[in-house]
Amino acid sequence: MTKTEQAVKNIHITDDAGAGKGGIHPLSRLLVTFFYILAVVSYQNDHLTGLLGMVLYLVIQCTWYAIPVKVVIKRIWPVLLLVSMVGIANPLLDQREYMMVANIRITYGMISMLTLMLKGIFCVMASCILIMKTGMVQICCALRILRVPKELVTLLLLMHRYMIVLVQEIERMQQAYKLRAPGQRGLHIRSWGSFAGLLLLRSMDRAQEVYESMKLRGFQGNLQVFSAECSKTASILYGFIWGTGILLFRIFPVFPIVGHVLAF
Amino acid sequence: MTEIELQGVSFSYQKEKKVLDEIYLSIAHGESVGLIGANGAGKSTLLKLLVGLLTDYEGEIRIENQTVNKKNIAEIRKKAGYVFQDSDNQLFMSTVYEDVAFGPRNYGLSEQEVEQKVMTALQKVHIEDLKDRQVYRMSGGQKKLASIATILSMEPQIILLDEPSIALDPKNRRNLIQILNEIPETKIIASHDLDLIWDTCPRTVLLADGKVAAQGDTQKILQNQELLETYGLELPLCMQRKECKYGRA
Repeated sequence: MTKTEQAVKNIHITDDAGAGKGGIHPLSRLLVTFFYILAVVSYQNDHLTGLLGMVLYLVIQCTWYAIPVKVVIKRIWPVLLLVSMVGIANPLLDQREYMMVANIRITYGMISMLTLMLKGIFCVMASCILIMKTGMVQICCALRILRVPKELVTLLLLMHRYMIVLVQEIERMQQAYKLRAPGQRGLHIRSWGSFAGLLLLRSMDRAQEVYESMKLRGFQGNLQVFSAECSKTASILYGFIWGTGILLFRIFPVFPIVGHVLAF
Repeated sequence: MTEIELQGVSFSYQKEKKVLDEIYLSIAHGESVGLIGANGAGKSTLLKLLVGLLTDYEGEIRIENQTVNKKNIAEIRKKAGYVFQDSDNQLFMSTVYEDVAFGPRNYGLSEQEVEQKVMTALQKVHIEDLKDRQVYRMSGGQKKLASIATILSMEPQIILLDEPSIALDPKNRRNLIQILNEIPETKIIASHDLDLIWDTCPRTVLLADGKVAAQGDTQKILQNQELLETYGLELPLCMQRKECKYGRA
């Protein structure tokens, strides 16, 4: 399977991952993730030890849903790379001493850089786990329950759908190119312009047909979404347990407390 | 009773060249009509005009005595369903059920009614076991049948099919022919697959350069080698092999 084929498959899998399985309502999952992200971003930039405790949420989620961390990282590494760049200049801008570790001077800048990087990575990973296990359709359903405007939700769903169209067109063009450029690695720089232009035109044509197909079946700007069957008790319990857990972790920094206990 | 009527219909994408030029055509209720012609003859354009995807035409198109224009496009589309040539463009939801339910839901039906219509449509094309299948996991033949089901769930009186047998293997093609013959609604099938037309449509319209070059009994038209070759077509394969279903070769 080529990379693009895999990409299309991944988009389809995330399309409706949570549908038809029963269990926890997407709204509950969405709110927990949102609360987790809020808790993570609320840490101050020098509060690295407290923030580290929040990794437990990701570990438990990955274990519970049986998602290998490697898979999550593989899916989002370009975003993680970008997120990791946040605060990269901090060590240069803030050189106040924070602590000394084995004659190595740790500055506030270094700590804040690490904190910012971790905040970004945690948030992106939490969102990724949410999408992987809930599915875009179910997330959009939860957004509608939260009274997010239907136009915005439809836009989100259509973007998700058209991503597939775009990736499929890239795949077709890449295959056609490769077959006529044996031995060549990647796309030659001279072909970039025409490739991008053609990709745009072809994607627009296909998107137009998809849109026509929707219009012919009565689409008037509102893509309807329905939540999968869920257990109310399980959803409330899930929200309550995670909400309380995240709040406790935010108030009481786990790692320093464990450290103190062990030292005592 | 006449269900579809075209009176002097002309259409052009660019002003210089007419894609359709003064088309006169009447199709009765329950009829199954094959639309044949070489590439660029105007087959797909004609189908798109019938469902109002293209509206700036000259002349008059009437579906059940209602003129096709921008004002009544929603009503026309309830009456006529269009199956696209490429099933990937027709199926855009994640599962077959969701896709087939898309139309009925847009018409504001209750979930119970939607489910009933979806199941009926899937049964008509014999793929009820695929209802929860994700579209990307389906074969070309299954996708084509699901595309037809998306239209059947809206219960249109008229079904327009653009190249329905394209990219189907012989077994899926035979299956499709059987299903098309089981659908009682009025059908217009645009195709280069003359054998499919032979097997599914008692009446055929031959389009050439935007005009109706010939129309009438399918077997008469498809056996007329001179006529077909004049307009860039060839005898159906079954005629070339002299083993047609109806044994009239």
